Amino acid sequence: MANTWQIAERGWDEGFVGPGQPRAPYRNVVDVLDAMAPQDIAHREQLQQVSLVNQGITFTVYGEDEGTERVFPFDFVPRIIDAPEWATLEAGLLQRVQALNLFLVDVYGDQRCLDEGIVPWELVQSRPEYRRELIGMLPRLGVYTHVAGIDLLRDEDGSWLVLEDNCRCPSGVSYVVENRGLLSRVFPDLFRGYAVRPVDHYPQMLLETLRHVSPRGRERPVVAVLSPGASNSAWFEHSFLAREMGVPLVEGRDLIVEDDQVSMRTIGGRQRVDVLYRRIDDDYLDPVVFRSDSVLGVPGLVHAARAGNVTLANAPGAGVADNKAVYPFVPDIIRFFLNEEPLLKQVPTFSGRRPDDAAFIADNLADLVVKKCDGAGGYGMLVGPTASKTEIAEFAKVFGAAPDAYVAQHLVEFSSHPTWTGKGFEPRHVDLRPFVLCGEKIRVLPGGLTRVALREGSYVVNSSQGGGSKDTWVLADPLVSDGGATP
Amino acid sequence: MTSMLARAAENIYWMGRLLERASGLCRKLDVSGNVAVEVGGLDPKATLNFLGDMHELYPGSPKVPDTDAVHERYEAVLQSFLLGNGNDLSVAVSLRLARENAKAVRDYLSREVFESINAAWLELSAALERGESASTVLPRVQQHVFAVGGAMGRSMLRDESWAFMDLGVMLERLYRVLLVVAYKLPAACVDDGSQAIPVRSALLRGVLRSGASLENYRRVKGVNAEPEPILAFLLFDRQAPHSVAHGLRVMERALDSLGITDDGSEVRRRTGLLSARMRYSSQEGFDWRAHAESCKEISDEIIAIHDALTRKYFAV
Repeated sequence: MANTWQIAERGWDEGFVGPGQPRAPYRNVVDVLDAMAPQDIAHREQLQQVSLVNQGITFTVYGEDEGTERVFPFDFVPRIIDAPEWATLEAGLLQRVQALNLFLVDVYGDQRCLDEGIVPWELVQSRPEYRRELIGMLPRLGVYTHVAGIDLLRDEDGSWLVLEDNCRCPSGVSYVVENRGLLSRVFPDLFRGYAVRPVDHYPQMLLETLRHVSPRGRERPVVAVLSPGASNSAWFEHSFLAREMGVPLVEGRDLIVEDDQVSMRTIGGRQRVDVLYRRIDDDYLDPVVFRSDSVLGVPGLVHAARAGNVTLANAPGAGVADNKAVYPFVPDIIRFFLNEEPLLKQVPTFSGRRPDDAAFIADNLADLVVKKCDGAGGYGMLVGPTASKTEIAEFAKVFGAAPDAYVAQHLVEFSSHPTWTGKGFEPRHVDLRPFVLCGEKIRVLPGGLTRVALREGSYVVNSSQGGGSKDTWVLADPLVSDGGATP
Repeated sequence: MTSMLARAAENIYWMGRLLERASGLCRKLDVSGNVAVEVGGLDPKATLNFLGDMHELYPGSPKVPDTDAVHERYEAVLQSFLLGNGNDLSVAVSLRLARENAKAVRDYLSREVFESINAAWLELSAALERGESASTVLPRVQQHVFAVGGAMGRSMLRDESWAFMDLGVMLERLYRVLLVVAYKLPAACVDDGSQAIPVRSALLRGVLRSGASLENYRRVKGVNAEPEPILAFLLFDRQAPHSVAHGLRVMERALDSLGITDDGSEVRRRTGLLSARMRYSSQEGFDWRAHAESCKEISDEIIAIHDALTRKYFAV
C-alpha cells in the first residue's frame, strides 16, 4: 500500500479485519486512496477546508471563545455500512422511536406505564424535562418526536449499541447533507464502484413530515423553522434547513400570538403559521409557561398549541424520553408498548438514584464513564479511565453531593475508523447519529452523522470538544424498501 | 406563498446598504490614492483638501488627524476608512456587518451571494490578522466587493428580497453621491484662476470617479470635464447608474414591485415626489451656484425616505 494504514489495537476496526486486510465494503476506497500520492491527498484536503470556510459551514463555540465561528472538521474517509447491516439498524431505530413516542403519549396522558411500574413514577416526575403543564395536551396525531437522533456505537464485538436518544432538537443533519456534497466534489473518485444511497432529500422528507402534522391538514400549511437567532451554535443548520425546505426561518421576535393563533410579522402584515419546527429548548420557548425571563421565545405559543392552532415539532416535553435517567428503562418501554423484544441493544447503565448503584459508582469512578442525567454535549461528564487523579477526586465531590443526578456506564471500547491525520491513516473512535422522522410514517435517513474523535485515543466526539465528522455511506440494495413503518 | 419577514427585509436592506458603502469607500480610497500620487507634488494644498473631506462624506466618522504631508494624510485616511480602528463607517466594519446581515437571511440569498460576501470578509479579516498594510489590502478587497455585486446581479431572485436590496443599495448610493457633489466638487475647483489646468482636470476626474461615473460621463458629455456638466450628470442623468435621478427611478420601481403604488404610503409619496423633481423641474430650476445647499436638502429628503421605509416595513 502506498499510504500507511494503521489499524485499531483495541476494539472494533470499522475499516480493517487485520493489517493490510480491508473489510469488503472498504476495499475500493482503500484502493483509490492508496493510488493517490500523499501530496495529492493533502492538496484535496486543503481544498476541502477552503470550501468549508468559504461556504460558512460553521458552528458557534460557547464558553472560552464566546461567539467564535469554527468549521466542523471533516474527515474524507467515508464510513460505509452495507445494506443488510443497515436494514437491521433501521428496523431497530424504527422500533425504538415508535416506542419512545408511545411512552411520551402515555406519560402526558393515561400514565399506564407509570401505574404499572415500568418506569418509576418519581423518576419521571422529578425530571426537569417532564412538564406537568403539558399533561393532557396531546400533540397533533400523537407525535411528540417528529425528529429523533439516536446515538449509536459499536462495541468490541462489532455489535451496535444505543448510547443515547435525542428527542428534543437533535442537530447535525445539515452536516450529513453538506458532507456528502463536499466529498463528491473533492474526492469524486471514492464513489467509483459504489451505489451509495442519497441523503440530500432529507429536507424534503422533513417538510413532508411537518406538513403531515399541520392542524389545517395538508392544504398548503405554512411551515417555519424557529431558531434562537444567528448567535446560536447551530444557526448554520437552522438556516440550511429553512433554505432547503423553502420555508421562512423565524426568531421569537418575528412571531406574535393573538387569540391563540400564531402569526409572523411580514412586510405584508401578519401571516398565520401552522407548523413550527422549533430549534429552541423548552425552557425558552414560551415565557408565559416556561422560563419567564426568556427573550427568545413567544408568549402564548404553548396555549396556541394546546388550542390546536399550531403544531410544535418536536412537541414540548419530549425531552423526558431522552433523559439519561430514563434511558435504562427503554428496553422495558419497548416491551411494554410494542410487546416486542428490543432489536437494538444498549449500554448497561448504573443509576445514581439506586443506593447500591450509587455506592458502586462512587467506588469505581476511575473505571466508569459518569454522565449527568440532564447534561449534554459532553459537558459535566467524567471519563474515568482517561481522567487524572485530580479530576477524579474533584468529580467525586460533585457526585457525592448529588448522586441521583448521575448515571454511569463501563467504558465501551467503541469502534475506530480509518481517519486521515495528515501523515497517514490512523484509527479514531467514531459514533453514529442516524436521524428518524415521524410523520405519516416513521422513516430513517440512510446513514446519519458519523462523529469522529480526532485526537488520538480520545473518546469524545462532540464538535465543541475536538470532534469532527465523516460522510456515512449506506450501500444500496434493491431489496431494502424506503417505505418506512406506520407510527 | 408566504410574504417576506419584516426582520429579513430589514436585514437585506441593510446588507445592500453596507455592501454599497463598502464598495463606495473602496472606490473613494482608490481615487484618493491616485490623486495623492498624481497631484500631491503639484498642488499639495488642493490635494489635502480633496483627501480631507471623507469625514463630510461619511458623517459620524472620526476626523483624520491634520497633517501637511499628502502621503501621511492619505495613509491615515486609508487606515481609518479601510481597516477601521474605531471608525464604524469603515470598509472593515461595513463588510463585517453586511456578512452578519447576510448570515441572518441566508435562506433568502443564493449560495453565490453568501459565499462572495463571506469571501470578501475573510480576505479582509485574514489581512488584518496578518497585519498587512492597508494599501496592499485595498485592491484585493475591492475585487471581492465587485464580485459580490456580480453575484447578486446574476443569481438573486427578483422578488421582495431583490427589491429591499435595491432600496438599500440605491439609498446608500444616492446619499453619498449627493455628499460627493456637495463637498468634493467645490473642493476640486477653485475659480480664482490660480489652479493649474492639469490639477483641476485631475481633481474633477477624481470627483467623477468617486461617483463611479468617469467613463459614463465621457461617453455622454465628452472628455472635457467641467463642474456644471459634472453636476448635471451626477444629479440628473437618467441612464447613469450612479446618478440621483436614476437611483430614484430604481427605488420607485422597487417600491412598486412590493405593491405599494398608493399615494397614501409615505415612503412611496416621498420617493415619487423627489424623483419627479429630479426628472421634470430639475435642471431649469436648479440653482447651480448654491448647489451644495440644494444637495444637502435632497440628502435630507433621502434620510426622510429611509425613515418612512423603516416605519412602513420594518417596524410592523
